[in-house]
Amino acid sequence: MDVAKRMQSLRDQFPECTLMAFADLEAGMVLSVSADTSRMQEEISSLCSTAKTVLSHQANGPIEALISNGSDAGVFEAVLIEPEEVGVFLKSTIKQSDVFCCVCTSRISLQRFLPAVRAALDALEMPK
Amino acid sequence: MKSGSETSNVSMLLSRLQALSRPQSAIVSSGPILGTDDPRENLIAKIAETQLPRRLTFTNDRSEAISFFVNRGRLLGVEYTACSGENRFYKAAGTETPHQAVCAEPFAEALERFLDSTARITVCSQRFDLRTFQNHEERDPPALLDIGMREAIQPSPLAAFSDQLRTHVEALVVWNGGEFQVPWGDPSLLNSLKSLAAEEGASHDEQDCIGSEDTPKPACAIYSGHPAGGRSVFCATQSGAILLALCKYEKTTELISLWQSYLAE
Repeated sequence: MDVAKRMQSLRDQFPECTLMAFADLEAGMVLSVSADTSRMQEEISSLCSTAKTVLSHQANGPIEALISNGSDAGVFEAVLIEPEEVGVFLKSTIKQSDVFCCVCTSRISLQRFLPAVRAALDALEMPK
Repeated sequence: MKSGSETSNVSMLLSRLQALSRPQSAIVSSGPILGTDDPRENLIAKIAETQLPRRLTFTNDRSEAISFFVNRGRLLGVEYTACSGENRFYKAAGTETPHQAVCAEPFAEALERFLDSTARITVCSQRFDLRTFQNHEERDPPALLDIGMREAIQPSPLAAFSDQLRTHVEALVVWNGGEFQVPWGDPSLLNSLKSLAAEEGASHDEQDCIGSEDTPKPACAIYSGHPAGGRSVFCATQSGAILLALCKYEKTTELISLWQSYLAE
């Protein structure tokens, strides 16, 4: 299943996810988008920019030091919860420049959504 | 997520979290307050982490007391009361770090006497009015305000919320009004969280100084490490208070669930 189909499948499963983008952090480019309505390019670019900010922390930063498991340093997930919206940013554990950026309503069940997005992202990177 | 120049709670929180990602400043904080292992360093750490005007009074097992007048991590003056009741007050130059200040005379001598053969030291924190420091000469300690007449720092709702997190996290702390509230957990992790919270609190203070509004609504961000063996930092803000908690990666969704329930209340 290609990335566009995976994102659509996830959004079908979680309709509270209104926008999902697959991006290459190194290139700073959004490669594929799935959304409930058409979105302006600025919004998509802003999402990618936010992903880069929250997932590309300094290697020696205090947050990195606290969350590192020793061998795999870095931020792999960031969740921003505000009253009306939830932002979810996930970095692949296999190819770390690949990320999913998601915007959801506050009704999203993150307990179910986070593992599902993680599984979909890592499945993309598995050797065919 | 909003784009462009729109300001949302998340973007405000985000800018604060970016402040957290800066290399850590030298906030000395090691171990319990005045543990017997290295009371001098712990005392200096307590001074360094005190941001609001406070009189920190340390009392040893000979009933001697030494009070440090502190603001924004700087030492303003020291009052030393011997067991005979003799009272001396020294004013600091105000430019040294706490470490430099307590090592300089006459502080060093007073501190040496105080720490000599001391087995147990207790600490008490009181407010004082910075203005009383303006024109005081040495040996003339500033009067303390009646704490009952001052508005006490109210516990943040986040402090109450933090009770729900304790069974899920390794360490947590709430920073509110320049003070650490409900610190809990592994001391080494807790000290790292305190340093983060103090940095974050300082950025709040700077925003207050330039008149930025603080978000009254709660907002939250969670940063997680590698799913295999990493940890998560949970950060929430509400009305100027900051809650930081550290948990195993597997516990992240439980914290999120608790936070969403808290928002729904």
